[in-house]
Amino acid sequence: MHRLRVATSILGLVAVWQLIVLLKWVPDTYFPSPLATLQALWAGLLSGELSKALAQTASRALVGCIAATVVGIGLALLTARYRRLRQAFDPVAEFLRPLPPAALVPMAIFFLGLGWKLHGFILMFACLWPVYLNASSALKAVASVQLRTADSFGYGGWDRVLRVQLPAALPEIFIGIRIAASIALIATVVTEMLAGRDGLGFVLNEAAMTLRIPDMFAALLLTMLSGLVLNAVVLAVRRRAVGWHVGMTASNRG
Amino acid sequence: MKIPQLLIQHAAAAALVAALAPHAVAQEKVKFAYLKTTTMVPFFFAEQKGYFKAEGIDMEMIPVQGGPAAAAAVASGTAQIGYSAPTPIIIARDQNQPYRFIFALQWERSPDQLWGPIIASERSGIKSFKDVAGKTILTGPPGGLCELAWRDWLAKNNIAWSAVKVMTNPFPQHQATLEVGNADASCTPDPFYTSIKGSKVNPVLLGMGYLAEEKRRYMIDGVFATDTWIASNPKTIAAIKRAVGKATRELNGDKSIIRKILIDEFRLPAAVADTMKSDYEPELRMDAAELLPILEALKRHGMVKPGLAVTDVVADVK
Repeated sequence: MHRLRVATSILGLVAVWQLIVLLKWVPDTYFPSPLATLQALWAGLLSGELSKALAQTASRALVGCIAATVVGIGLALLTARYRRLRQAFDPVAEFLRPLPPAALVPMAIFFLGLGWKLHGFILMFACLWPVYLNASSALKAVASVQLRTADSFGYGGWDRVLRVQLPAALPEIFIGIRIAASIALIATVVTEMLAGRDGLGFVLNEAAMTLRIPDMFAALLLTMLSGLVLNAVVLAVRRRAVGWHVGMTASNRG
Repeated sequence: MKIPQLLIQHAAAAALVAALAPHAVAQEKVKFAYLKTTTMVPFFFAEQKGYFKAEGIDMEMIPVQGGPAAAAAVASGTAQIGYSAPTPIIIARDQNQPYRFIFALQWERSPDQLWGPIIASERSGIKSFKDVAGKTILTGPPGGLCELAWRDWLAKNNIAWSAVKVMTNPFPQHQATLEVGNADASCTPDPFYTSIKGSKVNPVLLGMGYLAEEKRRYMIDGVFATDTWIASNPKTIAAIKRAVGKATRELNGDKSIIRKILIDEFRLPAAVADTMKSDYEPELRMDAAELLPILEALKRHGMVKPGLAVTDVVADVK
């Protein structure tokens, strides 16, 4: 039933798209039909252009998300363990996180060039904050009964953080990771559009510059599908890591 | 004694082999940040045909999204040379960035070699420059040739810059912006101008050429590098010149190759590729006098400081 609802929603969206094309609310030069887009997508995948670009973008987004997750959780554990570090770092985090990553690209090109360092910097900057802030908040919010129990068993310092707070905080940490995964894809595509040499963002921009609008839409569609796949990967990892929590909340809902 | 004789024989054999072996040309690595435009076709073709390698250059062509991206690539060391219109590089030099042009690639000269169209949409009602006051104009990237073109044409027609509303959309968006009426007029170079001509915009041509009624020949794009790289690599620059010269002569002799590259490699629609003008100068060169009209126009409109000399922006290339 759920799958039927999902399929119906997607078909409804495609129907609206086709209706806009038929009614010519937007000139068809700039808004190709679903069929024209799928044809361009198929041609792009067959020629290898889109599949290669997809592999480049997806690998950058995945590596960036993983790196930001490791660094973000690591920072959150440090600030959970050392209160003074949290007091020093949190204001910096609040100051830096509103900066849109796209705004940093023109400046970053000058000292990082156009290669992997630029992508790495932008991805780390964009994805770090949702992971860190969710993890930091979750580690602070662990139930006091759990902490007192840990104390009574003689857990202190890092033992308390790693064996009690971290497992309890994981479900909320994964919320941050899911957000970071979406941001990773957005940041990757934007960087490729502004300063890339390959990837879906570059293909998108190049298609626009050479007036190949169906190819542009095909690249957009592929970007959206990549987002779905990336989200599915994160959910699969979450089920492995915190399956107990998923099951618990499902049974609480009845 | 046998051992010294053997040693002498082996040494002689080694010397003979070394003398007969083909001389391996040491490859100088050069990365070129470029845009896929018609003026870049000779470089692309030279790289495909191995003419750079034959001159001892390992050329890596790095596609970028615009002149500022090319400048950033050269500044960061990602590329050694870059492609750009003259205005971003002159403006950068005015800001003490160490760039100079080493080759000019394309020029304009009145009346028959003009590539920069100023157009208005039919729905705007604009018939001449006099009607532009109070309207919304599209200039393309800030500090680009199109902004200079608009300033020059408006000034020639006694219209103040403050009398128009300026939008800076990227060129691919000009057609849609004019068609839906968000802007009334634009400076839109090819291939986008060719696409607009066949669209519902039904453009009215207000003027042609990036400088209003300029009679002198002036460059409109070229290849630039940093002062340091230019000073350290005169032989590399000469080798690039020879390789591209060879490619250009071949392309001028067979225009079908140009069309094939524009469609297959640059991915332009065939209808647009067929209208692109492509007469290449037989040899790459840089003449400071041909950058002067652009520099004078930039000074005229306050886009650079009066003290900037053309020799500050042009390399002395042999």
